[in-house]
Amino acid sequence: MTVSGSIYGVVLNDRAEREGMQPQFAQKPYQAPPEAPVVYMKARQCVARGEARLPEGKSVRAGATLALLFARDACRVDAANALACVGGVALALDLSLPQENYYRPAIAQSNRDGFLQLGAFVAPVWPEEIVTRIDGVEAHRWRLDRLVRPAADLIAALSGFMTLRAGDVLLIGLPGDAPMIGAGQDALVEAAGLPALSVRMEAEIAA
Amino acid sequence: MKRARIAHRGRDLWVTVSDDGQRLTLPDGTSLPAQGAHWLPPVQPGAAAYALGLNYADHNKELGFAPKLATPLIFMKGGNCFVGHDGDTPRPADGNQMHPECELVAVIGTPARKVRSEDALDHVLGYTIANDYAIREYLENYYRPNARVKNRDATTPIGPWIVDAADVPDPQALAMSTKVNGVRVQAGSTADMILSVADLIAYLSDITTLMPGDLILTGTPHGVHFCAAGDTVTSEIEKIGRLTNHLVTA
Repeated sequence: MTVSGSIYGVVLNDRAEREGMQPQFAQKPYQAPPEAPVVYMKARQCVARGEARLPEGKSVRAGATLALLFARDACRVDAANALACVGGVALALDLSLPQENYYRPAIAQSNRDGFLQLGAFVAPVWPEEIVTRIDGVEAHRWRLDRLVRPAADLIAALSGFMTLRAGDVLLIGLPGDAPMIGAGQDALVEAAGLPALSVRMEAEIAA
Repeated sequence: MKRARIAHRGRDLWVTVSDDGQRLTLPDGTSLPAQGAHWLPPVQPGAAAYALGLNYADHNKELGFAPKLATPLIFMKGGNCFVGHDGDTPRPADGNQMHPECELVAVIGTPARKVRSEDALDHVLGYTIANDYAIREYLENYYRPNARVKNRDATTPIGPWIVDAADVPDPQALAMSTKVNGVRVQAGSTADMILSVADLIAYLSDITTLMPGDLILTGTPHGVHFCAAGDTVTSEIEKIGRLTNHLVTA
């Protein structure tokens, strides 16, 4: 089993972030709160482990999350059967240049080479929280009970209109308060039961 | 030359297609009639598929958007979306505003990183056709066009084949059209793209490395026509071919 398919993630799956944005949801450009999960994708070219190159002079938002690797197709599954489709779980650090809002897909901000740092997959474990250290100092900690749709509910909701196929990866949500990190800094992502993910941020080499 | 991917006796195979589209040649040299072939999406598994929204000024006007956006509207599509020539696409019972979108697709042939527009077409392997259906009822203003509109299973017919770039010297001078049950509902020209194929490769290659097999669906011109289950939809692009799709009740 390996990552052979598409890589999906969701934003606005953090309850704290949603509560903070509540007043904005009724206004332009959104005009209504999100109903379906808000999906983004990353190309295989985004996947790396250990080093990320940031555009000259830019810092990035570093969102620690879980990556689920599908071992069986999930098509119209209910939440009770959703996790049976997952074959592996890894820590992931999703990098993105700051996004103005969530109105348009953020390919230019989020789909750069190396902007999905993916740890080693192991048989599914479901940690309660994920901790990110920057240069050895705790920079972020989030409990996964903040997820509006926990993994099983998220898979069920997505699989109602798109099949998550064996070999696909799903990132289950990004914290709205993810820390910023710049070139020259090191990130370490840790969660109970999962191999830690260590990432060195370097400046992009000018062409 | 044209290359297609078909299911043949338990394998998926890349085959060459005769100039008239009537014969297929398998890798071992066997020749078959194209009629009755089981066409698969001519897509490499795991390829990145980038798609453009609002890349034709006349279509933007039709939908009430500015003729040219300040930032190109680009989203990605998953492998679940694609369905081959002559395949079926589910049309949800409540998808009354489901419309076809004929699009020229550029297939990348060599890695492209920070290339200039002038050099960008050197990185194109060939071209195919996609019909990137949208269902307007499912639009939400979050990462719009959102996945529920654009990432549904089998809602992006693609094919029937990839035509070599050498056979399409100017990708910006191709007539394109959509017919529903034989009636033309969409007509345009790739000349009206806001960002050309070369511009799009240059833009994307400034963000990421485009890899062999990656796809760019370059957007669709004017002509929104809502379809029903049972419709046969044909997307045609000059010098590339004709892509047929059947809408079925879901």
